[in-house]
Amino acid sequence: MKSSIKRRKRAKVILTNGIMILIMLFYLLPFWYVINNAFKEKSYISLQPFTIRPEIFTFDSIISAFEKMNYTTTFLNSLIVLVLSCTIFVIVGSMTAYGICISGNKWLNYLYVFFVSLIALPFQAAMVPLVSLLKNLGLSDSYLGLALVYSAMFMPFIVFLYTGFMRSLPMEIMESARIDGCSYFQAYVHIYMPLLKTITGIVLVLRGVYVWNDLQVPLIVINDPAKQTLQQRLYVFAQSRIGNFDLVFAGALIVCLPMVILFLLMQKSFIKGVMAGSIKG
Amino acid sequence: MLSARKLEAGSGALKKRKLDEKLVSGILFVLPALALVLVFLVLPVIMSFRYSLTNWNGVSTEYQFIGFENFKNVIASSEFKTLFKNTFYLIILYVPVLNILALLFAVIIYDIGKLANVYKVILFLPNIISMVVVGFIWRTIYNPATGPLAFILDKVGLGFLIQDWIGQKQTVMPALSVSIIWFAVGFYVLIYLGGLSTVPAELYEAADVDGISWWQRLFKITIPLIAQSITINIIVSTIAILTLFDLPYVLTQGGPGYASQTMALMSYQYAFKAMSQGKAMALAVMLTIITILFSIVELFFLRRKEDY
Repeated sequence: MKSSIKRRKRAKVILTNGIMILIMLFYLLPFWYVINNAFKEKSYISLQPFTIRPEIFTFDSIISAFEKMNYTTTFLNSLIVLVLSCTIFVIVGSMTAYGICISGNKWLNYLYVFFVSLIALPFQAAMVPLVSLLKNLGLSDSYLGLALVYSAMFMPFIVFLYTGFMRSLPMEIMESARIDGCSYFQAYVHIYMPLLKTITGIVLVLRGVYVWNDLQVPLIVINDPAKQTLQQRLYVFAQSRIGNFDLVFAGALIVCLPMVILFLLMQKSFIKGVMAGSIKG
Repeated sequence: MLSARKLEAGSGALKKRKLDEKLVSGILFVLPALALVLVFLVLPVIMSFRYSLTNWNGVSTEYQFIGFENFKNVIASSEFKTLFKNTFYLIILYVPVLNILALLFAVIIYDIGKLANVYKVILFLPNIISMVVVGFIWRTIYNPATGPLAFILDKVGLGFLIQDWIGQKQTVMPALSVSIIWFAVGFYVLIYLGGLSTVPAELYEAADVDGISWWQRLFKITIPLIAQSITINIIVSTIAILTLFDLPYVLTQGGPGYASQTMALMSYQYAFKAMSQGKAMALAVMLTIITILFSIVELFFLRRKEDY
């Protein structure tokens, strides 16, 4: 009786796996389409969109896209913006949560509610005045300007994540550290910062990827072509060459490659981060 | 007697000083975030609300209050009806379809065995490549002359189905939605999986013994127990679709005509293409109010459902 249930269950699992694999193959088809066409001469793309042979294999479009997009500089621009933004996310975000948690003061608790209530604000609500504001502060066309806009935009959510996590930590550690002569700042740096690794990972996965992949904010902050981010450059590059599929595919491939590699190397942390972030949300 | 009172007063003062010190440090720690959010988020949002009632052009220092003129102009414009329709199309059609698909994937992946991780990685992969890349991929996919979709349909003898999917008014919204679902579904699958992992396994074991069907199991056990994840996902996906910019901007630019225009996209185009800042801010204000209203209404209704 029991073994027959088990056998039936096994058969069901094999069947669902079969169906899922088929669906996944369809799901991956657009990726294969881009990858194989990035290494093909343009004339073969619409004739043989899904197959590649050694005779038509070429690196020409990749090299050409790499040069025309000024890839190295653009990549560094994106990297600077990412590092700046993430540094602010982590330091300012965790500091705020710490401040809210140590005092136990009701006004700081209202401040937390204020932060949380800002989560639903769409970027568009700030967009137009932000452009003139950044100009007045001398921050337009700057990496710092971009990082500050991202930080302000995501700080409510980041504070929400950090505070939720911090509240699960015992505050008595701090009390005893205080008695030992530790200042609040020392307790933050030496005791709490190391405890925040998990939630910091979640913040970086949820918001770092967004910053790296975003187009909208650079579009309104950066005008100088030398300072464009990867996504912005790809947009300009591909938009003006939409007929040249080979270059569009090659450009798309080299732009998404760094993050895809990072994701595949650290897939467990990425997936755990998204799932954990959502349970807390 | 006297000394006891003195002592009491002394310890009270000590307590108070300690509290003040705590409060001061607390304030110092929250100050950077507060300043950041006030200057770069709250201030511009307030400016948007204020300037949407003026004829400010985005640069000059002079402007006049013109009441609700900008709002009237937006509502009276020929594109507003389409804008309105598209917003509701996305909320009423896209959000449920996305969530049902994500929930089904999650339930299937949850007890599928060893390959679960592979499916998670594959479904989440589009989230890792940017929406700019996704937009260009789907632009070439939908190309009726050279695209792979037309190629496949032709090969399997369904050539009559080939059309200019993103070039015609009737098909552009479904086509756009399909590409957004392809991009977004993995994220929501993961959130649902997070919710499923909190359901106690004994419940399913007991249900298996009782010989309950797959659908009964889904509707009687799973859905009621992960009601909270469903709430979160519906709210998050509604806000996300209302404010989505990158993907439609790259894929259709709101075209053909205004057929796939959304409020987020239109607001950008008013501001930076048509240079009518007033209309852009008026539309952004409407978008903000709708976004907040939707979050409140959905939270209210779904919270009540969760009580079961």
